[in-house]
Amino acid sequence: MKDSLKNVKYIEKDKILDFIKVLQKDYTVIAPKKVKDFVLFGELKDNEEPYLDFLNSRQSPKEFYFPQTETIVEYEGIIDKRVPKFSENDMKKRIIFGIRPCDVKSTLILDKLFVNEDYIDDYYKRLRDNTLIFSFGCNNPKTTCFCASFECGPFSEEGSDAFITDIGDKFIIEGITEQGNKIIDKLPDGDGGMLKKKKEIKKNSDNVVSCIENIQKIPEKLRGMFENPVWEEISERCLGCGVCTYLCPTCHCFDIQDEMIGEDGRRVKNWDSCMFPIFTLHGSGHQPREFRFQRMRQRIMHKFNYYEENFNIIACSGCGRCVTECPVNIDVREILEKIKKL
Amino acid sequence: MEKIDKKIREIASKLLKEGKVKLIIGFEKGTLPLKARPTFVRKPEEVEKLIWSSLCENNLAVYIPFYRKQLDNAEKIGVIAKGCDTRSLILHIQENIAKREQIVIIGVPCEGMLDRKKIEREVTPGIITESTENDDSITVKGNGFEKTLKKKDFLCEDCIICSHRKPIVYDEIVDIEIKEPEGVDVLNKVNEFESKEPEERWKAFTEEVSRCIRCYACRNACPACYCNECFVDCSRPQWLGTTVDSETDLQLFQIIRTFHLAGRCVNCGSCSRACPMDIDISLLVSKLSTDAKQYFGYETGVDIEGKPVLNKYSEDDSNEGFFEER
Repeated sequence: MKDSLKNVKYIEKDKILDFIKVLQKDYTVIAPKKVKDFVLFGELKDNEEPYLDFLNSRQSPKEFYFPQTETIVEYEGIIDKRVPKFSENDMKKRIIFGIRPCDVKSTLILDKLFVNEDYIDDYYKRLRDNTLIFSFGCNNPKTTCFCASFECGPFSEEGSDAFITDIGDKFIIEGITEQGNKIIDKLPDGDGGMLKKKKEIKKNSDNVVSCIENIQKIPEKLRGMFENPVWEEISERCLGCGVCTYLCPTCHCFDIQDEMIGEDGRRVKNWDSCMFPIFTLHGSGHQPREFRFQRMRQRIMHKFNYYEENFNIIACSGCGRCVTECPVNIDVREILEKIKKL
Repeated sequence: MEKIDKKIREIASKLLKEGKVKLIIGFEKGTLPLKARPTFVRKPEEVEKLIWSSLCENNLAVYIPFYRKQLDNAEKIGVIAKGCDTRSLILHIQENIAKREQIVIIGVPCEGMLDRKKIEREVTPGIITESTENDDSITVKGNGFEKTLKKKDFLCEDCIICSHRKPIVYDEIVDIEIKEPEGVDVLNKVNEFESKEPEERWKAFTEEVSRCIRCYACRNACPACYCNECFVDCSRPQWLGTTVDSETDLQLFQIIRTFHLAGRCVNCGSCSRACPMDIDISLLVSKLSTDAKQYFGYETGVDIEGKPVLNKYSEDDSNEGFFEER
């Protein structure tokens, strides 16, 4: 029977740093870190332990595939003789350690846009191809988590190379892909008792986490709703800041800017937000989304209708960050329920 | 609290029925525990959703500039306002965003708003699912715990040092007795920071703003930040770089924004509360409030007849701070 558990390993909680050090020989390890009273993902330094006693990070780790600011090309010299310099392609492989299943799901959602048969974003692809995912099951889903609505869940393994579960005194790590298995191979084997514990935790989390029923009907419902007065109602309290979009693991709008000093400069890709008044502002001064309701409509439509039409998947994984951090408590769950009833 | 709710609804209903205002901006229950949120009432039958609690943290004056078109058409707007909201409304009136008679102020004395994050921290790892408020305490419940906390221990940082909790001006008032706290001053917060060595202050400032993600929640939550085009969005000329990998641009954004708020900030703390990266933005802005007070005896939005400090000149003005030799 032991044979069937060959992909299940475990690690004592006080040994986690030893394991990280092993990983760091071949990989850059990106893991949750405590910043003030919250958690953000960041690169672990030497002897730095990941902070694994968290619900979810304040900001999603999407910046590790889709950086908020990314230099596309640097150039020097006068305009006709300018020589572009693209950065070299070799980068150390990375492991994102302790990423939650909703954020993994979001990565899979973003993959469809940035790497598809019509178009490949080389910058995204390079970062994505060089990153392994060690995801981390959620023992305590928050009241604002609704990942179960999107073919995801607190213990969804989709997209992971290895899957970590906190079973109290130790973590179990299950290999999912060949690469994941190879990396955890040297850890001690787990046993049936550990898996049983995981099953109980998973069952509890699956019961706790909320689910928006019939979410798959939303894209169709939105199809005829462009001119609906509901957008003005929903957006009236919106302040027009970028909290929802910048914390969101699936928002992916960006803006290209040139930064120059004299003749030299660089072209950068920056995150953009549909909530900002200058989003899609034309050079002519025309603004097709002049009012807050038009921008709110854009956000909801893009996630729950346009993206689904283009890629057959809704661009939300139910992480709840936009819900908890909005300064005026605009709640996307409430908006979706409202749309369903219209 | 129910008494206050009732009174607010009575006033709101009366104003709408009598046609004195077309819109009332107030608070309703939020979708999260420990959260009330701005709401907009246009019909008398909608007033039932209006509430009041120690969770009404937003400065509702922030919405006034969104209605400039309506204000230009001589419409009137009702606002449920705490001390800080009234101060921001006075600023708007002084800066000609609205005429005094266009803003119908429904004043509610405030005992300080609660800091949701402080309360959540207190009960960690518990997850709060509901809360009930009493006069001096708040009871939070969650997965297997229940805790009653004294409100005064969990106030927002800027509410602790607020000395204008009563509405400064109002057209209607919810008449409850509160005491303005004694011995509190924005200066207390600033002095503590200023007593540090310059290097230490710079280090603290740069560390804080290095987390900035340029979501501009501080700007958008601020009632005094209502420029049609913010300097960060301006591209001709471009005052500021647009990236987050330039520390200088992050620092400049906060510094320039702070200077734009000189003598205009009412220390409501909306900027700090809105920041998703928990940057204490209001500390920086508070410095200029204390300067205005120290050098010119001026406090923003406490005198509706007066002029904003940077809009007037007097020969008696202090030169201190202008020609200081170091």
